[in-house]
Amino acid sequence: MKALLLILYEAGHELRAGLRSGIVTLVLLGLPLYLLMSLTNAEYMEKMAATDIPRNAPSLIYLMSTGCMFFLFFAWAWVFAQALLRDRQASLHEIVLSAPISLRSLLFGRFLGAAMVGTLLGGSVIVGFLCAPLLSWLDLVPTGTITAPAWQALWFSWLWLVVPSAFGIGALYFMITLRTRSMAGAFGLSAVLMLLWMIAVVVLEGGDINPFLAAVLDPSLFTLTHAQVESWTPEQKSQALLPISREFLLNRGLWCALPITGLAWLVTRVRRETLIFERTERPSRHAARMPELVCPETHPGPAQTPRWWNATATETHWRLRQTLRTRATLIGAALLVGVGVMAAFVHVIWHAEGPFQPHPDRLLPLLMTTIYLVTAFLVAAIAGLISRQDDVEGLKDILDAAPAPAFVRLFALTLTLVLITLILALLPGVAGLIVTALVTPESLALGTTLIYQTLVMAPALLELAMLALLVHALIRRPGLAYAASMLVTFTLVLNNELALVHYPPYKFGIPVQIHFSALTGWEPWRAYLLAMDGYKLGVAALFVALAGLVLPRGKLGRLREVRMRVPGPIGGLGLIALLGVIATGALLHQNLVTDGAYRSAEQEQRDQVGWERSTARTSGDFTAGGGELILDLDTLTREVQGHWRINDVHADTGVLHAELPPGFSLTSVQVNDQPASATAAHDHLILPLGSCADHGCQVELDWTLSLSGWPTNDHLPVLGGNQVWLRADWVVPRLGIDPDRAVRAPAERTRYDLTSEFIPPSASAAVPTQGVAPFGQWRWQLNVRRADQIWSEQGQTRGTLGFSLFLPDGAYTLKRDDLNVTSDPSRADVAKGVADDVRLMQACVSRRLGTSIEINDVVQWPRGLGGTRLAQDVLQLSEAPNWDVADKGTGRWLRQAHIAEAMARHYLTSASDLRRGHGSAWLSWGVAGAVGLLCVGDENGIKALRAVIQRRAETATQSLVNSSIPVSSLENAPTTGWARQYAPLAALSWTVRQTSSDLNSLLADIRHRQDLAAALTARLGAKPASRLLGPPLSFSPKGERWRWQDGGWQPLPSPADYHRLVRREGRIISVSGDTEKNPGVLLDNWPAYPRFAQHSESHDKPWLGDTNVE
Amino acid sequence: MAKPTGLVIEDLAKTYGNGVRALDGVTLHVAPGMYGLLGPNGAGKSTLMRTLATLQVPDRGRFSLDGEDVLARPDHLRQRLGYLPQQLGAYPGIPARNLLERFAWLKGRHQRLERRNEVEVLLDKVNLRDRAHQAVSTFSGGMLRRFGIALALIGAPRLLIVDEPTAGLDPAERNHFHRVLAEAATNTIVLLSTHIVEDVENLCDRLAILAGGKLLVEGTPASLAAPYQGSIWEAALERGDAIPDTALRVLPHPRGARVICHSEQAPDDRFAPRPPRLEDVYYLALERTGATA
Repeated sequence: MKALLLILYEAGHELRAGLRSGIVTLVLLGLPLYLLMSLTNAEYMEKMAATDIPRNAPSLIYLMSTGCMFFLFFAWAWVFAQALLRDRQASLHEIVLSAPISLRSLLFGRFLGAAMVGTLLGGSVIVGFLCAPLLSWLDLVPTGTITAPAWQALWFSWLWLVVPSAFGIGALYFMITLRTRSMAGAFGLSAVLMLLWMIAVVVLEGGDINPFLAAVLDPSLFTLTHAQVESWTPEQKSQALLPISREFLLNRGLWCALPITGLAWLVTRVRRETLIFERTERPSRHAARMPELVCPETHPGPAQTPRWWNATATETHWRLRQTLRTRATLIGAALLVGVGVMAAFVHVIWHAEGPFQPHPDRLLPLLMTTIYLVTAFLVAAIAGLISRQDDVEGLKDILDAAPAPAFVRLFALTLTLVLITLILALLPGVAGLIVTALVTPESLALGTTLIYQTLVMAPALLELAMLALLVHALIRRPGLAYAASMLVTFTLVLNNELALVHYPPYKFGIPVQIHFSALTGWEPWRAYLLAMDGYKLGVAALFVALAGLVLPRGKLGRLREVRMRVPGPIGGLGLIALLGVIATGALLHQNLVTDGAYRSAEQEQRDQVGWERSTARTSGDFTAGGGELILDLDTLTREVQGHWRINDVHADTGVLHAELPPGFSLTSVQVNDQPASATAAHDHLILPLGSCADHGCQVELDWTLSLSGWPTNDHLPVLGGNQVWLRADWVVPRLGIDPDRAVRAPAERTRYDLTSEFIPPSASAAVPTQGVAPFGQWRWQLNVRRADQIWSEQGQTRGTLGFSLFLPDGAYTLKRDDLNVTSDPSRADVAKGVADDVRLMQACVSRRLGTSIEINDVVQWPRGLGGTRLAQDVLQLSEAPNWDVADKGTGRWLRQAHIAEAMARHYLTSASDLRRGHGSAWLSWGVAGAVGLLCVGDENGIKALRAVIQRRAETATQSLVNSSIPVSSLENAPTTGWARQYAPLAALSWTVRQTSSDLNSLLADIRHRQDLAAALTARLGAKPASRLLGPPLSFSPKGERWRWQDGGWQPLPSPADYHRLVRREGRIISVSGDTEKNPGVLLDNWPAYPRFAQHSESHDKPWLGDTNVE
Repeated sequence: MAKPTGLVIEDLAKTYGNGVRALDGVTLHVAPGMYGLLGPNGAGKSTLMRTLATLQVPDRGRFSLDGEDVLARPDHLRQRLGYLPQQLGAYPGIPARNLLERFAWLKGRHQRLERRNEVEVLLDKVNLRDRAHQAVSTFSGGMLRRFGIALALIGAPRLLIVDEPTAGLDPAERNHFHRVLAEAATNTIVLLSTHIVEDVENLCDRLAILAGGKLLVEGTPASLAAPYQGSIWEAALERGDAIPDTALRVLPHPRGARVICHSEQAPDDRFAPRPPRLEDVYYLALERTGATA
């Protein structure tokens, strides 16, 4: 009874101490407020794949409850360690431990109290979700997007996710503090937990090595939750509880039951004397090696004319040595490099869609992304530890009373942090170099690695480090400061993950987003990267200066100190930093907003709404007979001048519509040689044609287009010094209306008073699927001024108008059988494989489509410039992942499918004069994609076909359940979302049974009718056509068939009706028959795709068949 | 006009945010040598020390070192200051020599050789050279105080402030510590704050007694004791004996109590005269203000 009372008393005492520390208040206010702020953001919901579920749906509760564990690991470390260290800090430990009380009861009581504080912290997300209805009440979210609290899910999260973690992980912290009797032990453990999470997510789950082990090993349970939620349909996301699976229970056992058992065991064995005495430290090896110094006879006397900058350098060296000399640092660095190497192998060498070659432009961004989260938290923790290093009783006063000005210790601390941050930023690069040296030594690029890590990753980490420094300078209580700095780091990192912040300079603590390519080099990014780095370093320096101004010295008043420090080096740094931030901020604003195309998400949505309202009134069918386009591009002034004469324009409504590229400025417009007035708003041109619209007008457009702005959405700039990469639609208006621009989310449509569902314009009113103008007799001329020379190109076509321009510097060109393959020199070997694939697929696609696909050039299309496209006879093959795949494996087959798909799309859309109207995704992505898949099977056999179908099916499942727009029918789907992944698989069953003449006949019909749905209905009948263009369908090997409806898969009464794909005489064909005799690839006769569970092994996929029959 | 030497404190006052008046018009002139600062807990000694160490600013008053106004130019004093606070912790794992060197450059000793020489001299002075490679966190209480004085002596300070330096030290350590301080005081103003009156009596040329933030008395130990010559009486009383009202101090004794009285006449026959000591002066000063030791 007495023991129980003591436990309760100590628990209560610990709880009160925790509440008084300020951490609970900070977290219980900070996290829920942040969550509520996130829930008001529509983009966040898109990012969480939650557009058609309530914003407080169970899936989000689970994800956020486990997601915030990264922050909680550090907060818990403090809470649980303090339960044991507080007495020692107050020099009361001997009194407490000598008291006639049960040590076990004392420790259990302390643990219980700390665990209660821990659960309060962990429950902050749940508090946030409980407050979510306030958002509806305050009208901060669209009506109906917040529902009543999901009580079951909230209770589930509390009982299964939060409480076990708080007690289990807390027990680990308690044990390590009992052993080490220091905060460093607890913080070290939190770093290990983060590392374990990383291994689970990045290596085991990300690399599909062992998702089961990943789910068990991840102490936050985020891996399992994420994998589960990712596979849920919107319906499940809105209602389901996380299943208590085997891995779930094992995880809880490992991270809750086992640590608590361990703690119980340890507490019964711990003795008072081990808690009283300091840990004996081994003498410093360095000191032991030091030669005996001769003691001078006289004291050198008072120090004369101190050189404080000299002292700063010495202090920096001392601090750096103190930090780096520890074994923990070396082990931590080695572990990070080790995880980086593992991640590189898993995501590059052993990737399921690979294997890939570890080219630096692929490897470095990947390693940065995978390691960034852990590194960010490490940087914040290290910044806290280093800035609190002098918080030792007495010594701090001596230091404060020392003559060294405040800037000496501050600048030394800052420089130490800078160097440590740089080292941390370089570690992923080291991992990358190790992997490259092991796999493809010829691709080693030390300079690129160094530049990438230093200019892309390090500045963002420096922002975080200096922000943590500022937080610790502002908040005197160390526990509160640690928690606050971790919370700030967590929210800044999450801001980017959840797309809450768009404007690049406001993305504090997030690396500059660029797409580096070995082909383009640094040139296109140089100005932007340096400006962003300058800005980030300015912000970091500003944080340092602010920290220096408010850094406490003794008990001196802060305001007085600020006044005294402003005129010194700290104020100087602040002024320089402020001027730097203003200058680079203005430069960025000029180039991103004024000259560039940056718009906030809100502005972008308003533009979309304005676009829909203005186009809806006057949309109508139009045609153009052809015309002539002249473009003058000056790489020095970075300006394009365009003149476009369009002949024989007919428009039903008397209005010609065109979608405008960013930076477009109309200078003159004439209709039938008469000046006309056009409206250019919301990136859209509306040109009333007048009376000639019925019998054909001649329209002349003149414009200028500035390319001087910097890229937004990490899109590669069109110009890079002397280099040019151009597609027609980037500089020329696209005639027609682009339905892909519409706002699709119902809540957002309601918010802007739009009709509940977007009604796409008729196909004849829409923009062409490829190029800038529909079928016609077109001529074009491009004049490019590069340095001192003018480069010109002319072309003409009878078809859709589309062209591209590609003028790289220092590229390598391989000539192979009349095919020119242009790539960066480091990919000379890859170019040979690409050439072979292109020729192979060219023959196959030509055969399957009954035409002759013409390709004379293949160019490596740099990262960040959009997807693969065939324009005229040039195949722009996107760099990622096609120029990284190895010679053999799934990656190569996927590349072939991709190449064949691009060729097929070009032909199918040109031959049908396809526009982005109803159902265009079915033909341009579906049939084209299916041809791509079939060609892989034709050329490589059924095993290859299986492999690519499997990859595509997994992607399709993911894109459907995580669609950022509501999934309706393929007919109304935009071409940018889920349709791209789903349509090829759904069209496969139909496409394989079509002869080339069937297809060409259909294409002619579509071109004639300009109505894909009608053409299909006429040929197939209403029901089959509606299935092809209807909502997604899927089937299982057990004969089940589902249709996507109301945000989820709904079973259909009719069973799947199978046929099989087999390879005969070098061609994949469809056969019906018995499974055993004709194992191949099993398909449903309906346009349904084979769906399977996320983590099932290949032997669980009987639909794939089990023998390689050709 | 020649600048006054030593530490001059004029009308120093400090009231904390919670209303506690820690210093109330303290005025002192401290010449080179050992100067003792006596007072009970809460007398304002630590506040005075921290203020003199430029770790906080007074609400009123001023002080100067060798004629330089410290409030206007705190760095002038910091460059000449050695400060040893009451409590001294240690960084984990950092050797003593290493830490001393760090403080040396933070005190402006920028030349490496000079810095090393100074550290070795100081380690020798505090008898820690053979332990200099050990982490300070492993030092015993006495070693830590000696290490602290070495820290405070870096840069040959003009003003050395030591706050309760001998608390918890054994007699041998205390004696050693006193010797180091006395040696330092040949060229330095050593301000020794303590409530061990014996230390001040043995070491200091002059002293001041503080209570309730006010300066009660100031002078040499002899001059402060002189006025009480012939008015201090002492007797050993048995348990149960009545203690006179004039008792200044009652000290425990194996058979009862040793009582010291202050009065013009012996309270009774049991009392014998005794020469006034600084401790008596201290208690008398506190008694006058109503403060207790």
